[in-house]
Amino acid sequence: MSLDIDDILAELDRDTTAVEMSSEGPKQPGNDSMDILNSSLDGTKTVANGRSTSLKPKIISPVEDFNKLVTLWKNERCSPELLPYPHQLMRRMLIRIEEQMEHLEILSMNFFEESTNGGSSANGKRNSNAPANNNKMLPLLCMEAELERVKFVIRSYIRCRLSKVDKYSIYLRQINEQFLTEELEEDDMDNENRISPLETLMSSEEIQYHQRHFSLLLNLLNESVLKYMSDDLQAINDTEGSVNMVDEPDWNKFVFVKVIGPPTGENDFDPLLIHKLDPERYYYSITIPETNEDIELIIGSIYIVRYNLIKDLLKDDKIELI
Amino acid sequence: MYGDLGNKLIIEAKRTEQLTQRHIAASLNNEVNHNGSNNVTIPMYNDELVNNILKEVRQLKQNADYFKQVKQEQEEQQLLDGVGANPRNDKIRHCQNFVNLICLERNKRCLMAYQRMRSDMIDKLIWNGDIENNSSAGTGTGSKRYEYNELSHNEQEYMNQYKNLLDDLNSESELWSSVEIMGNMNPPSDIFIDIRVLKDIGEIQTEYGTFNLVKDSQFYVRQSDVERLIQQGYVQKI
Repeated sequence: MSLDIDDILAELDRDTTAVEMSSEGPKQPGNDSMDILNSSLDGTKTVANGRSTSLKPKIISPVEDFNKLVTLWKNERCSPELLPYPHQLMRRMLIRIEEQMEHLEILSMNFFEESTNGGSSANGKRNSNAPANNNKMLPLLCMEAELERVKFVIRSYIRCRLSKVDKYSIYLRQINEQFLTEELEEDDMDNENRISPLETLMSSEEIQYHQRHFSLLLNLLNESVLKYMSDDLQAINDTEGSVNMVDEPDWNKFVFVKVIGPPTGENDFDPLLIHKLDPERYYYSITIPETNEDIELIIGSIYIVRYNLIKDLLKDDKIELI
Repeated sequence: MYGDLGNKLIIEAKRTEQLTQRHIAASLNNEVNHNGSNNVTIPMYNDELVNNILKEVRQLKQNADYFKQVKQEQEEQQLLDGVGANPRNDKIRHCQNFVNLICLERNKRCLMAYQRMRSDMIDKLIWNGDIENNSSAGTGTGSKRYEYNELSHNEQEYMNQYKNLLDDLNSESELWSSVEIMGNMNPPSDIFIDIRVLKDIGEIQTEYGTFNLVKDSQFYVRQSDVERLIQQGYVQKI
């Protein structure tokens, strides 16, 4: 029994546009070819829907997670500073990717077995010509393509963050040192409960990367330049000399923003949000200090503003960068 | 004149940067040859110029010491004589000292900028995975070492350590390794691609069977299976 390719494509089309997650997880693949097809189609459904799957529906659906990830990715790429790391989200993404990879492996193993046993190709070295021509392969290919895309987004996201970690490495160190000195001065009992700003800002890998790369770089500079300098010119974080040596994020960079409103969608419960009638609109009000001018950031509109004006709104997920 | 050499170094750094940028832009426009990694080439470490600047720095340091000494002597002299400071002499001394200091600082900044630019390039080289095919990998103790003629001794050290750092983190972090953090930075489009084999490799095993990769043969394979080979320059995407 063979399925028409148009059917599968139509099915896929519908799935990608559907918003809610199908509650039914992929079945365990069986031996007979129809079963495999079905299960792989189910799998595709979940992938197409959520771009990543979990075998059981969770409270936070994969769709939301993926959308969140894409938003974070866009924000990170557009903002001049390093944004906080989404620890929970990344943990979930990792689990889902691994599950999906396993799932795919099982599917393709079964498929492979079935096709060799069924004698559709006599020798084991099938697929070297044109596997995509095979109708039954299509759902599997779609799932793999989706998985590759998710992986690409995460890869691009982390790489973007690492490049910022490198760029602002001294600046980030200073944030940490400031925190540590404050810590010493306060000397409270509940100090242990406080987490350093770097730990919320970066993942453990990024912190490690930051520290080790910085020490490598410092070593290089010491060996090749600084050791030839006199003692009072040894510093690498001199801010008082003629030119500031610490690269700070460009807080005044212009960014494109889209106002999306409070993440819960309940406009009336956001204290910052101003509600005006005639014409009815919800907006955030910000002031440009140089010109003393107020701007209304109306929900759903797009603006170009300086980054430091909308920094806080961005961190509360009320606007996104585009 | 003081600072001229520093200028030269900065001009060289700038030129290198521009060349690299142009190179990347060219490889982006030229999609045919584009196989994921834009080969970054590092120019020779300018040993001579750097050494000359360091010589100049030594000279300036001596000057600074001399000025300090003169200042002390003068002050002692003034104390002995019981006369007030001569404002004219003071001004000249200040000026000399200041110019000297500025030159020192400027030289330091030039050297630092040059070094930073090169270390950034080394980082890029490692991230692109270029070092494995361009360098003559010597066998050191324990881990593999990469030798580059263009790099200074310190830079070699830095490069190897940075490579180790990335390898360590890659193997430690589940997330990093499962998304193949060192992988291709172009958005994936096709799962399967046509490749041409550039060097004999032998058999590789994939989910879709075994391929015998002989030089000049062509295959239609899954991109993720041959990603490493593309980066290392064994096969080419067509």
